[in-house]
Amino acid sequence: MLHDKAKKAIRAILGDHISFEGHFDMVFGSLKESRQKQIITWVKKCKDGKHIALSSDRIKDLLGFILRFRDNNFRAILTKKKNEYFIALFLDKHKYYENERRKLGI
Amino acid sequence: MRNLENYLTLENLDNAKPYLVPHIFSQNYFNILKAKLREKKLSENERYYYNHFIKKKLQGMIELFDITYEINGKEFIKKDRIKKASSLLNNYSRKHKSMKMLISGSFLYSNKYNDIDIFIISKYSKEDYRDGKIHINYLPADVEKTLFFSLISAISIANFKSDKEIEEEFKIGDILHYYELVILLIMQKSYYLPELRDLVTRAEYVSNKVILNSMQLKKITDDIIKSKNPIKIINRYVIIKIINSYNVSVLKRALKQFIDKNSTAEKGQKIYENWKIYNQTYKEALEVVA
Repeated sequence: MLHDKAKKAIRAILGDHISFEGHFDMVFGSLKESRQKQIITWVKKCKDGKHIALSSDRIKDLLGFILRFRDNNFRAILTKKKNEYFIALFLDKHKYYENERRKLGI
Repeated sequence: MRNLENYLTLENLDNAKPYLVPHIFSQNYFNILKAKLREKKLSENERYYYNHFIKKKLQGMIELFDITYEINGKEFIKKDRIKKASSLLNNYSRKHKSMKMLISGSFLYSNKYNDIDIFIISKYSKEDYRDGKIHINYLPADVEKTLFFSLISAISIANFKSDKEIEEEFKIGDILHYYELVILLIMQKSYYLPELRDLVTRAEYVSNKVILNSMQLKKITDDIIKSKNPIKIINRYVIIKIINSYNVSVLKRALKQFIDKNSTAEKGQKIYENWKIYNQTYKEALEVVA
């Protein structure tokens, strides 16, 4: 799946305001199709309240959902403002994800 | 060709000064070598002296004394692996000239291993790559001052000697973030070994300044992962580690802050199950420190 198509599908689930962070396009494009589908299913489940989240101690009312794969070093963080909207979908390599996690306080 | 400057430390150089100056190096050459080790920028003249005279003398010493690679944690390393690791360092040193390089991981101490980790310290950001069973990992230039480096170098074979002190500090919030992440990954049935390693390494360091080697770390993480209830064990482990690591008031403030952030559910939703576990752990830790 192309990253543009994935973004469209994710926007359809979370809304148009969602932003894509990290090296989203490059990483998404390099994933196997099964992993690409896994991300979209995961996003849908986060939206439906079927996944647990971390809460930030740095940014008020920020929730972070985490997705990690076993067979590669990519990670995803989906952030949400509590009781409101989803903010961003971050997808990148482990080292950038670590920095992002620290920045977000989760 | 091995790079002798990688084996030198400022301390060794100073200690050896009476034997080096003026017999092997002039005072000027000695100062240039010292400046190089301090990673100071050399002038054009100094660079010329360094490359044409000082480095050549160092290289001569390597060959003369048949200096072998720097081996840390030799008692844990399987004998047959030393030879193989040295040969790998020889091969990859040709490919990555003058770069600091070390081999670490289960290849050195375990009968069974999946891959061989070679770490290369580079000033530039480069992509890690695989070469069959070999996994080349690039590390940033300042990595020697990190806990991670101390961990991987505790059992290692390297083409350099490192005497850098750890300059990282881990706040209570850092430890609790790793703890929360590990529990979340377990609960959502994700692979969590690397995150557990991060937690244990840091928790051991902050509690008693213990720097684990990779074998000790593997033992602890294996015990946790193979246990019937890893969450319960991690909860207890975290309480024990944090209560001795921080000033009571700092600890209380952080725990209360973390309990607070994990106490309000989204409207119309229940509190996440992981938040209940975190808060139970934090409350128990507060009781202990109280």
